[in-house]
Amino acid sequence: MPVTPPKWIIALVGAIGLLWIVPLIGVALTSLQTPEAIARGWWNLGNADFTLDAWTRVWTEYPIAASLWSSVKLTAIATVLTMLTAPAAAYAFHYLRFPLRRGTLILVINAFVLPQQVVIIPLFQLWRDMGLIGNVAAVIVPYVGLSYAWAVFLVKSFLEDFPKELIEAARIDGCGPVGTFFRIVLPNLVSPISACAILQFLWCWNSLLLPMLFLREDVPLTVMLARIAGQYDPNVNMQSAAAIVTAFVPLCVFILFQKQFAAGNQVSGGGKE
Amino acid sequence: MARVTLRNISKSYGQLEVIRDLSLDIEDGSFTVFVGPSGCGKSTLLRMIAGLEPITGGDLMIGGTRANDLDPVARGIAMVFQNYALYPHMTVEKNIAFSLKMAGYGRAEIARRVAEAAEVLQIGHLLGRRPANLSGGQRQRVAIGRAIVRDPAVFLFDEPLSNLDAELRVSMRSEIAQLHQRLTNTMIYVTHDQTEAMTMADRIVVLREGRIEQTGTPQELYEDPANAFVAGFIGSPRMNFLPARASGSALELPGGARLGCAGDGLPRELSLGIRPEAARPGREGGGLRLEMEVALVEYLGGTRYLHGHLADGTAMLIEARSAAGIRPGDRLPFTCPLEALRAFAPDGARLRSLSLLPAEPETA
Amino acid sequence: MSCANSSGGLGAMARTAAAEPARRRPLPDWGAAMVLLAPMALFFGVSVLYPLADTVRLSFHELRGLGGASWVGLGNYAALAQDPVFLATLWRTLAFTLSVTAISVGIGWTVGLLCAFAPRQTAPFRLMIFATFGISEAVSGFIWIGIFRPDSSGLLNGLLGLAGLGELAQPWLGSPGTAMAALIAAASWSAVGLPLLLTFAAVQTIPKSVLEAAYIDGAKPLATMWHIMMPLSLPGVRVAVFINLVTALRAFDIIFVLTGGGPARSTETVGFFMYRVSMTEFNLGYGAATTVVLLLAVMAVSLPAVIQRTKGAR
Repeated sequence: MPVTPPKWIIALVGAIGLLWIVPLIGVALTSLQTPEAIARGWWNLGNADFTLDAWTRVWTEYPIAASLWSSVKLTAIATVLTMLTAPAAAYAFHYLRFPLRRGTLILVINAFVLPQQVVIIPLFQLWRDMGLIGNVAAVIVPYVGLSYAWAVFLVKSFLEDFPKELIEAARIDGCGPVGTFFRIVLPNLVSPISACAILQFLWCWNSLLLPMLFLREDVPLTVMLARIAGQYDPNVNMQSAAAIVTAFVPLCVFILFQKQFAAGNQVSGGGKE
Repeated sequence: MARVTLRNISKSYGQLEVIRDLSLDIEDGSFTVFVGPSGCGKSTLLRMIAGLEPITGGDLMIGGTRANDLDPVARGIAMVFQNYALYPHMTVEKNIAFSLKMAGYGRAEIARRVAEAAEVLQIGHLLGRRPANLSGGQRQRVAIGRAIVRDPAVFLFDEPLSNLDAELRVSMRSEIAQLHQRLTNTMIYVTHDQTEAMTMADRIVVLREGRIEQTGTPQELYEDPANAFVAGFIGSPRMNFLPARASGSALELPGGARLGCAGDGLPRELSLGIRPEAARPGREGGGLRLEMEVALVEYLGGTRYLHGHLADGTAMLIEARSAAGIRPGDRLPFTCPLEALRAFAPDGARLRSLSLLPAEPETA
Repeated sequence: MSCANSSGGLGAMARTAAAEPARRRPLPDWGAAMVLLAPMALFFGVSVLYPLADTVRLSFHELRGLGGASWVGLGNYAALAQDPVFLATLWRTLAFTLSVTAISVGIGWTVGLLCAFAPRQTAPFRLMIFATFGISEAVSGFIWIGIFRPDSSGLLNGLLGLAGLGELAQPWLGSPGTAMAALIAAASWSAVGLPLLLTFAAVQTIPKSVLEAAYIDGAKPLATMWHIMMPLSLPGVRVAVFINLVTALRAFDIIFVLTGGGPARSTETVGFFMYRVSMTEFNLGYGAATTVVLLLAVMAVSLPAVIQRTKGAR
């Protein structure tokens, strides 16, 4: 490794990096144009016409507030449920002995091969029969159910390095298996649980297919954006503003928690979705 | 083969200056050891010679050309790393051949030189293995093989033996020394272990806090240390330092012992160094007479180390080859010939102007 | 919770042994497992096991909309095998999946290795590439609509015009010939983050001294990348290849937003075909059979990972 990094490397990576954010800059600038300037092609800066118009009107033009609330609600509930239930399951699989343990574990951690598409026909019929279409539960249940494949795997991988002596000490102190989980193991699972939370948060917030099919009103931001992008609408500037709103929260979470995200992805290795 | 010259070399990390204005001449074909406590800058110095650390100031000359801005290959150096740094995904053969491949040698020439290096190091039977399947000693040989196959002008060793167990360390030590006699390239070797330095080096460079404390042959450093630091660092067990007070033409030592002395501009307080192996238990022999209270006897078979302290509490360790029957708690008189004593000023500088004389006949 | 509650504190200790609070017996392992696994079992059963079984069951039935299901055996599969639209979709899925994986992993791997030479200086640029990974496929699709807009309002056409290549401008998403390429570009753009991340992380675990040894051995940056970093980052890259393959194979969101599968179904992959057949044409049995095909494809790609996980399940 050379003492000083070759300049061409920094230049090349820099060029690729800049190329990569051109689309993002493009959408940001588009949100600052008038529809007329966009139609003329504002890229030619002579045609550009900067205005905050889209940003003042987008909130009333589209149901952004309702969608934002829906995104927050769905994502928060699904994330918390995964954070609570996956560690308990991982603990049970790792430390407790019970019939069919290994078989169940293999089933759960290999469920990552399941495409979301497998879920939609059966659940669509089930929710329809139960009258749950349009209910948040219709989306949250599969959000949580599909997270176990990687979430249980991730927490269990962490538990493999957890000192067994602590569990044994708790047992000697008269703590039962459930108490051991809550009092001894759970407080030490902060890092894998936060990794789970980041992954689950991003996945749920960014999901499109499930909420699009299972919700009617009160759709999250992604579905709202897909709807307005699909219809013929000259207000590209406002659509762009809506896209930025949609991407803003997960992008911030992603950038802030890169480390946990990277660690989670490396361990779970099997991907998600 | 090449002479390595450092001229006013300095190294800073931001505001922190770790090496300052260091000059050193390393003879062509010599085996030079940089030794010093951890953090003394010896590894940094070696890495600057290797081209792994930029040189902040001064000139590095290798074989007569300024090498500050050359890359390692152009400097003609090869290096053996502390953790061997073998390429884990390559066989031993490919590890050794890698630099030749990078230099664009032909297949036949590479095979010939790898075989030659393997023979020198007796690792021919390991060529097909991966580093993970080698023992520590074998990895060490491969790392050396990777260095010698290029026939570099200068070999650099960065604490190459510190990851080996004690027994292997001793045998590798002599192998490297023999290798040097055979190859006669310039070798620069970094270690924190003074025993390695003493046994292997033609010349030792003792470093402390980024400065050279003394340069010389092992014997010069042992017998004629430039200061208290070198005196204490070189030699094992460590030299004992006794506080002494100069008054007129007499030196007062702990426990009421006295010596005559002569010299100009002596400080009032100074310290006298006594090597454990220079002390002789008993009252026979001239020179300095002292008495210690023995606290611990370490029996090593051929010899014994007696730990204890003088009347004023100064810690003392002496070596006794034949002192059977000494037990902790005994008061043991011992002597030390005057020519074996080294005197140091309070700042550690050697007091060469001081000449010691036998104690004057008792007056009190 | 079965932990003995020591609410008595010091006072309780002062009492005699006989007055010690009654300890509840801890649950046996299987009982505790029931308690801890119950929530997961509920969610997992409803949203994984039941749909899996039901999809397979439905794939052997003829079922349209709200009507009743009738058993057709392998009829749906036989129909799929003869459906030219579906067969074309299969090939398109293969092309899309391999292209997106090759492009995204190729770029991510290369950039990840390059970054290892200057981790600090390249950090902001890494983040720029990596950030696309935090953006949903839906938003990515929307962003790329803006790039491929047909008239001069599209960024690509606009840039071509600025570069004096105006005659190359065209409705990228409007013609079957270019729509697939546009989709691949958009999907690759958002898929580069993960290989970059995993490559960079893998390269960081190579001991610094090994890279220094390569430098001392005379390896230039490109040679170091090729001979040392690429083989040693392979484990991380393998994971990225696998995840990107699976993600592209089941792609839906980005296709839905960017092209809607069009024009003339030229950008439909199996994941989208399944949606159109079952959710817009309500041909549920046929859609279920398509889903099973998709599932089998994903399982085939995932086989090494499945084996690894199954072996490691202790």
